[in-house]
Amino acid sequence: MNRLWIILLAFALLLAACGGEPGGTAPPATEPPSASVLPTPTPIPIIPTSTPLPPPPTPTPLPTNTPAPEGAEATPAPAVTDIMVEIPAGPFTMGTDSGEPNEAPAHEVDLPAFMIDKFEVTNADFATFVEATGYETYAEKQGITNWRAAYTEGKDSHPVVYVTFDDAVAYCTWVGKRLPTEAEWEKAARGPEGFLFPWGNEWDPSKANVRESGLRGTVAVGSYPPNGYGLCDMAGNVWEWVDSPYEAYPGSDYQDPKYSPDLRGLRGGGWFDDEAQVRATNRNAGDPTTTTHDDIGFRCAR
Amino acid sequence: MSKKLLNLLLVVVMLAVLVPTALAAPPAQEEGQDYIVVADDWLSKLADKYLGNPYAYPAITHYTNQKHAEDDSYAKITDSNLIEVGWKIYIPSAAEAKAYLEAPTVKTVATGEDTIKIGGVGPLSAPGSVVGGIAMKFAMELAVKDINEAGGVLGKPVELIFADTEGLPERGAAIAERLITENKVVAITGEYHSAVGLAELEVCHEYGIPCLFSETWSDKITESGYPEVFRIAPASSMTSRAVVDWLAKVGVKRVQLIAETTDFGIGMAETQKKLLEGMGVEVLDTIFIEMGTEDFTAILTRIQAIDPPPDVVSAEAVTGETSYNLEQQMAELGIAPTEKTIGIANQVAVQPEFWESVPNGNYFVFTHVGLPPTLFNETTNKVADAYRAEFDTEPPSYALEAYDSLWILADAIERAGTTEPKALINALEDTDIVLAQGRYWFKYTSKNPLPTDGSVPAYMWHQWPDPAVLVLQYFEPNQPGMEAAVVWPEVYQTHGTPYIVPGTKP
Repeated sequence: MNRLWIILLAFALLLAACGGEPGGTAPPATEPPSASVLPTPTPIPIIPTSTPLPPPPTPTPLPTNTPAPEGAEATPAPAVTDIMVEIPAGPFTMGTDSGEPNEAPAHEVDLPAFMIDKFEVTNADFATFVEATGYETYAEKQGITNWRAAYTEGKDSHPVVYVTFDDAVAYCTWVGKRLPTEAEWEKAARGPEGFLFPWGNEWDPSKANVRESGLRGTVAVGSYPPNGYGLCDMAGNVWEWVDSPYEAYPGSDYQDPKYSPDLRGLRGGGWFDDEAQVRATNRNAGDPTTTTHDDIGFRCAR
Repeated sequence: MSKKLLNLLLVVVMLAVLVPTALAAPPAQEEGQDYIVVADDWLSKLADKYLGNPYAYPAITHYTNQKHAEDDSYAKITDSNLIEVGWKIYIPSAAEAKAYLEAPTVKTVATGEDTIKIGGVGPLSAPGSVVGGIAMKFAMELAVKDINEAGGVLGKPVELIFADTEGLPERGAAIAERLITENKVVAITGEYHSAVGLAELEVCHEYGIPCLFSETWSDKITESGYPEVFRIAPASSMTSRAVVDWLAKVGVKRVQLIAETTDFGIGMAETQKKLLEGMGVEVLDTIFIEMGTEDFTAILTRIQAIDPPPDVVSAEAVTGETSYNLEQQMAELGIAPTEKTIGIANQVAVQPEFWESVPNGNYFVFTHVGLPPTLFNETTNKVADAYRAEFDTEPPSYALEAYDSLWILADAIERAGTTEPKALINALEDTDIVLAQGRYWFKYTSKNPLPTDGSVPAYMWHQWPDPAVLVLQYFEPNQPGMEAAVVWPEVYQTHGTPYIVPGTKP
């Protein structure tokens, strides 16, 4: 009997992976994000089963800001998740010489400090935005499959999908943020250690929502362990829009015929991607106005 | 609470959390959807993601092209390996994909119940050569119309049942089987791709149904030696021979071959290497490439490093759109054609599309199978007029061959007085008829077997011995293919020279 309770406890701990925010107390909107507000990552317990299953989505909603009192400000602070992590200033190695040709050459990029969302923007937060502003996404205007279709019951904490780059910019602007640049995104994804994956440099499909997970769909954000900066889902779950054109890196003599200043980057791989796409250095891109898929979302930066 | 009950509860709790997510998105979608391509997409991955089967990608190609025909906001996919960022494509529902992948045939002519049914095969979808398939289908339909207007065969109209083989051998074999077993065709003709033809001929042989190939070049087609297999296109070695004879005349010493990894490409490269070396010409390492390759920088850089540069760089053994990519990059990088190096293109260089994809393609040399316009007869002119009216371009040899193939079968059925397969094969062996490409006959048959001493190549079995194989060369940008200079054989030379040095005029 004791052993069974240990199993249940282990399972509960697993649900709280990526910092255990789900179910936690909502930080006030004015509280400056810092490492100190982040709970200590919980080590993943070993589930006593011969067939490991990927961690499930979090069952509870993410914390949200406390809405500002009516009339207190001309523009009330959006009542959406606002947990950001500060990425310190300094150089990092962007790209790799051992990936796809468009990822080369590995080169040093020096960035000032910036803030980036700990989580991908969720359905619930996007719904709040839409409700507050009456915003209509590109897909809705076109009458094609849109974020509402993917926002089924129980998916409050799943990343919003079927959003274009322009839709993502609209959301980030509303919350007083912006999309990360490609360099910012990669620096954040590689963590302080400069890893290729959130957990290290060796591929491990059990640590992210990817094709090998077999889920064939999104999971609640933060279902997997965070990377060294405390950021969740920087590998898999959904591709994330970044605000940079799809062009060759400085010093590259590789000319991808798809390079275009009119495209915008997509990073991190989605729930149907493999090691090559999920790697932090992988580069994908889409049309910023018309591309909406069931595995494309975003997170904001500042 | 018993231990068993607690265990059960634990399982239920875990399933309640896990299963809804795992089953949230079924592998095969119930409804089709528009999809905008991103940089890292490829069709087989999308087919895997949305249809649960990576091999279902031809269905995406097919339905997207079908949508394109009605709404040009959808992309036109001419090569399943080449999709562009931002394209709108259509991913069919699982049911639509299944219907397409399992549909064996496309009926194009229905003339009533009591008809003589002939199966037509060719690629109408990528990865097959769509241009080739469309031309062949058009020519076959034209032939059926002409045959029926002339009274049909054995007093009955001919019915063509044309099926899209997509350039895929396994699909070709499946289609051949269905044409024979379900559609009850008396013969099959057409086909553009050798690999598909090789799959189809096994089915024809199994069922004993005659198969007249009109545009498959691999030697192996007629080397099969099957009584059911006939061919009116040249064998690959016959075209290889033409180029090799021409190269000998021009006096080259060192040749670089590039070939695709298909039966056609490998066969042609091997034959040319053997023939060239037999004439004392050095053949540098043959470079093999995959069909659908877009970027040839790596291999062309290797060739660029050869010092001194080779006398010839030949892309003749690379087909379709892939050949255009390769040839444009060869020209762009200054590898060939140049003053020092002859550039040989694939035979599809004769098509107007060549100049769209290979704007730097002046002075490329290419082979052309078929009569020069000066030798067109009344039938050729009639077919050519109809073809020009439809496509606004000269008919390629495979269109003329496709037209003629229907008539050859109709003629044989009429002479046999029956559609019984053995009688039909016997009548085909006795073919002697003048059509769009000249006089057709088969030299080596059951009545005149191939010599056993190997003095005649095995591919001459049931092979039309007289296809015209010309070597042509462009000497002006955007020149129509049939206005290029005929440089070989000498008897057909149009500008009195076997080669035009780049930068000069004949």
